[in-house]
Amino acid sequence: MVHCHKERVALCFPGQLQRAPEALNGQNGGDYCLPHPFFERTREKIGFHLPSFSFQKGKENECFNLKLQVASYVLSMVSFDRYRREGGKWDLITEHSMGIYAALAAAEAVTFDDGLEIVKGIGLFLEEMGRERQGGMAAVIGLGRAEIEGICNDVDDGLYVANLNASRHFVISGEVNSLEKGMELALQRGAISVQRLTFNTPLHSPLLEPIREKVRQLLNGLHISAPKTLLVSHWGGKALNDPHEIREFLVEELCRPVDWERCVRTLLAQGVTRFVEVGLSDTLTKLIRWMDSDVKAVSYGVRDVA
Amino acid sequence: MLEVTEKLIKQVKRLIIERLKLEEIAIEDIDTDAPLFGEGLGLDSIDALELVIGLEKEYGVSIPDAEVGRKVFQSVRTIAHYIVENQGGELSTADGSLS
Repeated sequence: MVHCHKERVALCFPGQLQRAPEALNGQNGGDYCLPHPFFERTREKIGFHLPSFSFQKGKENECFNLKLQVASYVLSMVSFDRYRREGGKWDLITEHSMGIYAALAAAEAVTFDDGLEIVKGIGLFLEEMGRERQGGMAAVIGLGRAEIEGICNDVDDGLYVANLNASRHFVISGEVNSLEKGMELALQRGAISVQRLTFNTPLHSPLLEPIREKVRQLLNGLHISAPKTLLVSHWGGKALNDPHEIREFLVEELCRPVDWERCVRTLLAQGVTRFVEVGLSDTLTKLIRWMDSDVKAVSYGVRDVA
Repeated sequence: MLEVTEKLIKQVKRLIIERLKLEEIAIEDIDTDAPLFGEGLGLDSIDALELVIGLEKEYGVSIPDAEVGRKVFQSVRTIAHYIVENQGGELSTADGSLS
């Protein structure tokens, strides 16, 4: 870890991408086909070829969300590696939703390989669940927290607030019928935007409790250490300090909401002056700027990896 | 009846650049009639929320729902039209300068 004394820098690991990175679909894999050991390692370890956005096995290749989860993990790690090699500094690491897996690897609580195993393992459980019982998630923008909670209550059939991203930015989660009712209500009640996300499971809700034990067993087979960098979770800024706490978090966070707003506000109160988002996304950067238009928030990106 | 002036078009472009911190983009780079979302400037729904707040703050016009938002945020020109149609009296920005 490189310590920074003038500024207090938080590295932010975003959640799952919502579409296949466009550059991956170009000729020769586009911009991301530049050599990086993580690409080759991912192919060797779990059979996923990032430049073509495909698994070598047919059945896994049909799992779109699983592919997005692996791509998000690898691209965040590549971005992080580039940032580190270019002398980038950080004081702590934080994460949003499925960004936890890359955040753990960056904080050296798990190896890159074990991070891949966790992403793939949990991704397969989610795919299986999605096949058995269709669920989903939607981003609702423009309504306040009380209005979102009101919608979840009014649907009255298993609809949950899954992400508290910012004062007027939320994600709701539930089974398909409930989700669709909730989306309709949100539009009727004046949301600026309501977008269905790609997930086919109701992540960050109690509806995921049936897979808890499977996740626990998967984690039991992997080595988890104490993070070497302060690791601050999306549970409102709660730090994850030891392996037992991390295991419990990885199981429980699937069934509980992401409180990104409180996480950012906690970090701001603790003196963070700069947020650097690593990976393809710039969503966290925009949410942070929304909360505090004066704080430095930048998206580091992936493109110029060499 | 107030009309959309070149000055207002420029102000809307400046509002987009400043609210969204598009530091690498100049006013001249934004096509007045190009789509703001998806293709074109490539804005997303979080940007839309910033623009909604920006328009309320700078021009006192509100976007009541997603349907109106979709129509208004088609391009810089449609935003400027919406400001003109929904703001009574002289156009003035938050700092008091007339458009």
